[in-house]
Amino acid sequence: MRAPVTRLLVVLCLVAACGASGRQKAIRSSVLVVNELRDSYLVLDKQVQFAIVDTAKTHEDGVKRLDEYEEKTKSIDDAFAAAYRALAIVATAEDAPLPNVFALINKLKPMIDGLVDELVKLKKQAKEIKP
Amino acid sequence: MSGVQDALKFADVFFDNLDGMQALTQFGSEGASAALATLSNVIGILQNARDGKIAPVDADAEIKTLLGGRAENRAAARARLDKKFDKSEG
Repeated sequence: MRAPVTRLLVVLCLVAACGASGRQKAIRSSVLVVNELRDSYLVLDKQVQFAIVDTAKTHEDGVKRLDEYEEKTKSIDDAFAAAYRALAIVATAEDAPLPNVFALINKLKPMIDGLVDELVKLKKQAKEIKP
Repeated sequence: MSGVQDALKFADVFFDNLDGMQALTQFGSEGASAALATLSNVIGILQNARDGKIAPVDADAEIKTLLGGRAENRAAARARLDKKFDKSEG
């Protein structure tokens, strides 16, 4: 590596001489929380789609309802994408405000709770179809 | 990554001569400003990596995992629907 770049790295290491902060811990925890929520979302997503299929009266009905579900859940995908992008920004830009990111993450939980309600409703329907 | 390459060229001039004016003349105020902004981002990333406290968040990879999982679920549901109503291809 050329000398100027080596000098640059030395300067960077000097600048980097600071310890862990509450901010860093908060970001790391937030990433774990969003990953957990994403995994739960994917499990639920599969169950809801299967329940839609199980309660479909015809093939066309199933296709239509799966398409509607897809359209409805795009907002959840977008919310996750926004949360991840915001986390990427606060992880690199030291002065980016954290509360905005927490607000985005807080929006995810009610969306997933909505899917749980949807699944319960569909399972009930499925029981009625097959007593 | 051309931004980073440009920033390193700027750093070469700046750190070789420790002469900010020469770097400014050579790269222009806009180029110097962009290079410094890039270097600042690189510092942030290196700080995080060096401290080992937070790995830089790879938003694109995380989103890809999400969308990939959704696509798999969608395909599985469609296959289940086709099977239920005997609409398999062929």
